[in-house]
Amino acid sequence: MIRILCTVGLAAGAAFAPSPATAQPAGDPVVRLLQSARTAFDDLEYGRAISICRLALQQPTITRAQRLDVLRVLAAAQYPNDPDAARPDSAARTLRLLVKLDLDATFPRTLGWRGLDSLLADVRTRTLALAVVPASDQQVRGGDGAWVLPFRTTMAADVALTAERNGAVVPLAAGRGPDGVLRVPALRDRVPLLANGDWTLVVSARVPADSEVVRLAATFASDSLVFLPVPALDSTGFKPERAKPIGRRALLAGVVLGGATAAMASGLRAEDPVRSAYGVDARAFGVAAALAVGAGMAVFLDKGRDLPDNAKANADRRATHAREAAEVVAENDRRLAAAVTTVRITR
Amino acid sequence: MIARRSRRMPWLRRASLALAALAGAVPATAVAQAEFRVTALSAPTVRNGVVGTAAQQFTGTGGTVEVLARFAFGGLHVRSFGADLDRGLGVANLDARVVLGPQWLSVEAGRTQRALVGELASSQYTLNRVGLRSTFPLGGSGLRGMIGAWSMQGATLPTGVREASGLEGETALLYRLRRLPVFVQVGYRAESYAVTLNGNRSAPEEMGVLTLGGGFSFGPAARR
Repeated sequence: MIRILCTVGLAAGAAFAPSPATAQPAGDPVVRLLQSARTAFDDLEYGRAISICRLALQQPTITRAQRLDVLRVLAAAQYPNDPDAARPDSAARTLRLLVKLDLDATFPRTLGWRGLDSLLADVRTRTLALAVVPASDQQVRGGDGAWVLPFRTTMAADVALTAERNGAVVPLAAGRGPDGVLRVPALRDRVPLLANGDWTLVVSARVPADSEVVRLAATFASDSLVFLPVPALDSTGFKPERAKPIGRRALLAGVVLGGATAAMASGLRAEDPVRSAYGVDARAFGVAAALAVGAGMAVFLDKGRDLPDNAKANADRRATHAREAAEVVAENDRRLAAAVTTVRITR
Repeated sequence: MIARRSRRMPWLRRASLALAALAGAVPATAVAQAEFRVTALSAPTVRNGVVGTAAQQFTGTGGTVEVLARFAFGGLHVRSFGADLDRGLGVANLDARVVLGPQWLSVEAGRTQRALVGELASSQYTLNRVGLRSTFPLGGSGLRGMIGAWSMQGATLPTGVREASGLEGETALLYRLRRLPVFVQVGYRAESYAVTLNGNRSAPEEMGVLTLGGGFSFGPAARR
């Protein structure tokens, strides 16, 4: 069952006299009916008092405070300190309405008695009621700031807070009764959670068998937040940090090295009679072959030569980008820290 | 990577610091091309020469120690070679060269002290030398090829020698380990000398040296 309730303050139902109803103009029909009901109750005319109260409850102009006063008289008349006149079931139903309207409702001495207080306490334990006590104005600063909405329920219940406007429903926070505080960040992902303007805050408490809803009007005003774009790292400008493998050029190098060895051994010969007496040193050809094959091994060994100059240039580039990005982030953080969101909650 | 490796190998750290100190006086681009290399090679040697009027062959095993320190624009290269050949002949070379130019093609100029020591006679030459050397990486494999050629001209000659000149060629393949400043080298060096004795008698000589060994190399250029 969804009811529209605006329960504000613990003091609202703390005392019956002077009742808010008595502050109403004397010509108010609800005030006159309430006075008549009270007179009938005082004259022990409980049935008459009940009828007048029911009539008063049907008045379209009845205020919340007047409704509380009427329900108190009605419950007292339904469960007086007279066993013959007591109708506890009816009184319990009236008290349930009273508790839902004000979960801290009590009876003044002139109306209540121990039995009625006991019945009220019993009804309160079995009735889900929700009270929300918002601070009227809250200023939230920075990206981590949050505005709060304290609440109470008469029993353990799941409590959720949403904001509604033009059919849009934004979930804001959740909590758990009987006592709690709904905490709502002003920003989410650096963006105001709610656009500036008027919203309806809907606080709902839910137990398996019952539910309660309180609606509040709220106005949000957030500073305009413009963030600088964080520069992206352009990967296309990086230089290769490793050269291409030498590949088949190693074979050419092997041929040159081996050929030079063989040519050197064959060409650097002494004149006669040495040259004619002895041939070319045959070991040189073995070395030539070994050098050719060994150099050719680079085809398999080389995975690309390190290019430290390029690696340093790339590292410098990354560092420069990181420094520039950090400056932008710092500026954005500064703007975020200075941003203020004002929340004004009314009933 | 170097720092982490250096904690495990203090000698590497010291060598790196020494190289860095050496590089302190030169621009960063030159440091990027820097290399410090120490090489020790076994050198099985064959020498063909003239004894009296007849050609004779001497074989034996020698050793070579080389030290190279260079930046982008050049450096210094020192080489010591010695071989004990059969029949009591010994050959020793000591080179010092200034290197000019980048690794892929550098000009070298210097002087060689060459000595032949035998049971019958000994002689000692000083030769001026000039040549070209190219050291080129084979991608990022850790392999490097080396080709060099030099010409030598006698500067100080022993008694009885009127002229001396020579040619030298060398090729090698170097492979440096990826995570350690260690390399291995295999190659071949050929030398030929034209020696004219007094009285216009010719005493030519040639030598073939197989080089096999390795060493340590530091610096950015050594890793390429």
